[in-house]
Amino acid sequence: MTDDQDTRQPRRVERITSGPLFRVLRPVLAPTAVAVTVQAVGSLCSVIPFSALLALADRLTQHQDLTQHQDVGGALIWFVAGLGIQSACGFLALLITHFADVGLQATLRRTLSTKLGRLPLGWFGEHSSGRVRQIVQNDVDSLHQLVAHTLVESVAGVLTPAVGLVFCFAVDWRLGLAVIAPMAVYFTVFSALSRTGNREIMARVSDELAAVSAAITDYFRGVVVLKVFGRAGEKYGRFTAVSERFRAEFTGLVRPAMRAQAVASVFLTASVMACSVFAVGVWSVQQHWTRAASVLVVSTVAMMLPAAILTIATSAQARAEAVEAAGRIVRLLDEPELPVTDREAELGDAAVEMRDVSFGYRQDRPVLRDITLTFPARTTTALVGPSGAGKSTLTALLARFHDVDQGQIRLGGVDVRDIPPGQLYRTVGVLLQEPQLPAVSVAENIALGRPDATRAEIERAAREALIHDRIAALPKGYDSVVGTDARLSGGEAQRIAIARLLLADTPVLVLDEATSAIDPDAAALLHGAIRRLAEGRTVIMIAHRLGSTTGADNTVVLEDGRVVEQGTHTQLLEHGGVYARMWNDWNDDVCGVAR
Amino acid sequence: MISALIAIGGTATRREFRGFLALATLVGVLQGLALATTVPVLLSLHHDDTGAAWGWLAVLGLVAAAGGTLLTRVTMRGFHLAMNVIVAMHRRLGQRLVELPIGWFTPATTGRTSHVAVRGTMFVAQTAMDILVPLTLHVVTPLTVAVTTCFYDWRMGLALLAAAPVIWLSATLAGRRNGAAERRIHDAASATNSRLLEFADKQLTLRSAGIEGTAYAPLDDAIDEQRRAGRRALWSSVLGLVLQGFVVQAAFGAAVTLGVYLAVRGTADPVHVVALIGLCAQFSGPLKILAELGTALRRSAVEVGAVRDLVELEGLPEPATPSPPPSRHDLVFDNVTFGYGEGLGKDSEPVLNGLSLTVPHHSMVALVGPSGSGKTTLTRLIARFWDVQEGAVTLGGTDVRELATDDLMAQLSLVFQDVYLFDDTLEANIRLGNPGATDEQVRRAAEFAAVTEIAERLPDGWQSTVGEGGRALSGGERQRVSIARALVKNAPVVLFDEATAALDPTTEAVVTESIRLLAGRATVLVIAHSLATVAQADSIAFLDGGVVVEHGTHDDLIARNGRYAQFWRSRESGHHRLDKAGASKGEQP
Repeated sequence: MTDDQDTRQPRRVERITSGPLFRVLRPVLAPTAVAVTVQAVGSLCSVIPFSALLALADRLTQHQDLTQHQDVGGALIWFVAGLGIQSACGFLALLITHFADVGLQATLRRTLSTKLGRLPLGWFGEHSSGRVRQIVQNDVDSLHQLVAHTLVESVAGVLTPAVGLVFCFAVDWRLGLAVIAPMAVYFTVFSALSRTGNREIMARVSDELAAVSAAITDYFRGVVVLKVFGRAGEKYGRFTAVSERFRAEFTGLVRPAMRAQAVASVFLTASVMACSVFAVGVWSVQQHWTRAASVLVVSTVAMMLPAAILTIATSAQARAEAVEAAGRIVRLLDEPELPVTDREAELGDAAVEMRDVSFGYRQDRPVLRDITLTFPARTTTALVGPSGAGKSTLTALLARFHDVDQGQIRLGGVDVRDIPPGQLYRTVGVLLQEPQLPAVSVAENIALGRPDATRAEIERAAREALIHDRIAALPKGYDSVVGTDARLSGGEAQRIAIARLLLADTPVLVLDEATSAIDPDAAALLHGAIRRLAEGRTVIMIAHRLGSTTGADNTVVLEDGRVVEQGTHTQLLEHGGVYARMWNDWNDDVCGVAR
Repeated sequence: MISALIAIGGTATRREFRGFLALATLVGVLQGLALATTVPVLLSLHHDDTGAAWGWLAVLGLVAAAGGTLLTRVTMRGFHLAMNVIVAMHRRLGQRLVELPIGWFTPATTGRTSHVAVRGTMFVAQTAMDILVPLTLHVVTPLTVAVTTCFYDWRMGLALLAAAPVIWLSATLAGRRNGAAERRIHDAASATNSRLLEFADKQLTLRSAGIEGTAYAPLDDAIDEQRRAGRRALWSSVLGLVLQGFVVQAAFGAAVTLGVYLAVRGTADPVHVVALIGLCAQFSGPLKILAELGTALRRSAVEVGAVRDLVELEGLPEPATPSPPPSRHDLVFDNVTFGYGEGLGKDSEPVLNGLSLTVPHHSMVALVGPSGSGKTTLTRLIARFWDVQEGAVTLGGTDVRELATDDLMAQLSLVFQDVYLFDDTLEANIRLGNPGATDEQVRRAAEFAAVTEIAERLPDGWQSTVGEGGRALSGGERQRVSIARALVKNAPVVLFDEATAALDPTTEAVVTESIRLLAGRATVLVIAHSLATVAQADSIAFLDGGVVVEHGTHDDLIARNGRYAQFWRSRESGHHRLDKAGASKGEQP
């Protein structure tokens, strides 16, 4: 599982200065550089204790007359001081990177949230939540590891042994070779035993991990379904099979690398280093090429080297993870945004128009075709049609959740693409199918679009939405946090959403009436609330109760992505087409039994 | 963390673990001894006794070789151990999930715990590969070194040994500070992460409320708070880290100073001292690494601990000797009290307050009442989503807690708002009701439930996947699939929640018809919302405040002119008056 060190260094540096990692780390590049420099200085200073040790050893062994203990004392002081400087530099470097990391974490999250705020609402669908989750929960953390620890540790891990090695050579080249020998053997053995294409293996490993993660998630999600059918045990069997498969695959992939690492790293252990150095050392002393003190110091230094090198092994993993993580983050940051403008537009009136609009979620399958509709100001238009006809899509386009493929949507005479989102949503209120109440207080939920609203205004909106009593009945009232202090039913959540819209007081409303039927007990209440909401506004509503169409100024019938009929209720009945048929069916269903 | 690993892995793991630890310790000792042998080599060298030097070198070589071989062996063992733990972990988690009550599985808990399981897997793997072996070695070897130093010069040896507890103490303190700091950072990060995820999930709402970018205050606050927490924790954590390193260096420095002092004073042989200095370095070096390993270990410990908590969750007790499946299918609620309990704030008093109700065999009872009266909860308790707190729920005279869960669930068809679809084909989701059903039966049920038109609408027909939780279908469509499933299953007890009936007219019609169909051949308990359904019911139970307030047929209750009558009238009026304010278009049927 390790990356070979020294030979690959130039490539690594290259990878860091270009590409996703660089982009993501740019905010902390300066402090990181400083920290790296400080650590480098610290590592370079490791030569001080080494030399001091040599001097110490010399003076202790050679001078039989130790009354000159100032010399010894001097060497000792240098030795301790050297250690101290190293520690201090290490500390400082870590401090700097940790500080930088704190800043980076905040910056990254802000960048991500800004991006999420600009992605087209259509992007948020099936696969998006997993992706966002991965990035937010794992990838940002990988970068934390890299910045706070790994970078500095890598520098230390490379420089300190390098300095040590140079020192050893400086003392005696033969001994230097003796130090290199085990390292060379390490590399050779490692390359020989490990399969080629380490990166490829790591890619496959992360595939395996991803697969087992998906299996776990899938199992967790699916098991409840099967429990309901008394068959949870089945899935369990499949799951354990997947788990075993993971073990087999993962082991197969990783074991050779692990074995290679395990065997090779034996040559980096202190004891083997000692063997090598002493073997050459004893020989050299025998040949009078060098003296015992040198052998001592070189062996001491040599035995410290492997530890430093092996930290690189662990940090290689972190580095690779960070690169992957940065890649994912950058891919998210590069997702196409909805083109928005900054300039506020002059809106004519609260009328909405669609001209020759076509749209499809996928290129090859249009959901809406050649839609041309007018929604005059302060009128109510009902949209009806069989499921799949495109009603939800139409309302989504009106709220600019996506941009049209062809045609135009105009609000107050201005193309919605030319209206900045803030202004757009102050003009167009949207009531969605499934109410999404963020985990904040009820008051904040209602005032989501108007943070400056007073409590009185909030209460008034709640009263009009017929939800005030329910809120007041909660122990913490308006300060109850949704989800923890207050569990609201679907219908209640809808009424909060309606209160929100009342407070936001938008001239145009786009709503899906299906929302109002989730809690039929409160259906009457909800319809009342919606009625209040609709007064005086331009309303475009997906009607699910055909009774809603009787009061609408215009009813549009959609089928298969096209407008097939429109008119008032009476006109459509007289026309005797799709609408008339639907109306009759519905009548039979609902009213027939009551008779 | 080790204990967490063992808790997850089970008893077999414990044995394996002990063996692994023993071997790792042996390796550590061997390595320490090898290092200790460097001293006689040096001494011999200094005294120009190269013969002895070579001799000792040979010993060194042998011990090093032995240690090396075993090191390889133990590394691989550690790896296999971790793999075993992972498999055991999956197995136990899987098992645990099967045993948890259905009520536990909300989207939030499911999401959170699957996340825990995934990370747990990764961390266990990583721990095994990078941490376990070095950790052991870096403890055992220095200790061995310290002990052997005693043999050479008891003063220096003693210094090292004295340093050991100091180092250990500072490591623990540092570790604790670090741990606390990291936990605070982790909590702050979690809070921010949830807000960020919420921000992503609720983009639709937030953006349509005009909130752009990070203008979402809770997210902004969370990010700031995290930054603050990070800064505060920072000093702790770095200080801790450095403290440990410093103490180790200090110990080394002290030992060297002591040695030099002794040499200069003449109470120790300088050559000895010089040789021992080398050995001391082998004491401090590994301990320094230990500090870094400690951080990694702590991170793993957190994750692995979370998995352990999951594995040890309490499931719903299965009966030791399950009763046989009942032959009668009447439902009786006997003085049932139930509330959702902790975690949901003070908003939850008991939802059901000593409720009693009987649903006779093959009859249909409609539950009616204002929202929050407990109707949904009642139906859930039959399926043992949770267990009652007081009282009992019986099916055919047998307490549901006495039935094996599989047997119980086989008797029930649930047509609820939570529709329990999973990411498989439309057909598979229907067939889930009864895997032994023929294609004919499946198609017929689907036809009845108006699911055929869904199949026609979807690109791959019956083989189209419905997405996670049935995402590809509208609410009404999901409900219809659920109904088709119930029809195919043909269970003797049907629990129906009609609340979603009005999602679209088709669904509404299907629901009414299917209830009519099922009423004839099963015991049906339906949370009713439409007049049609209520009219069909053999009796109606009106719930309010967690008890049955009125009970009887529709006509009886209307005649009684009590709560039910009042409730019904107010609903009915709302049902028809859907026009705009002011205009009374009299197009009512």
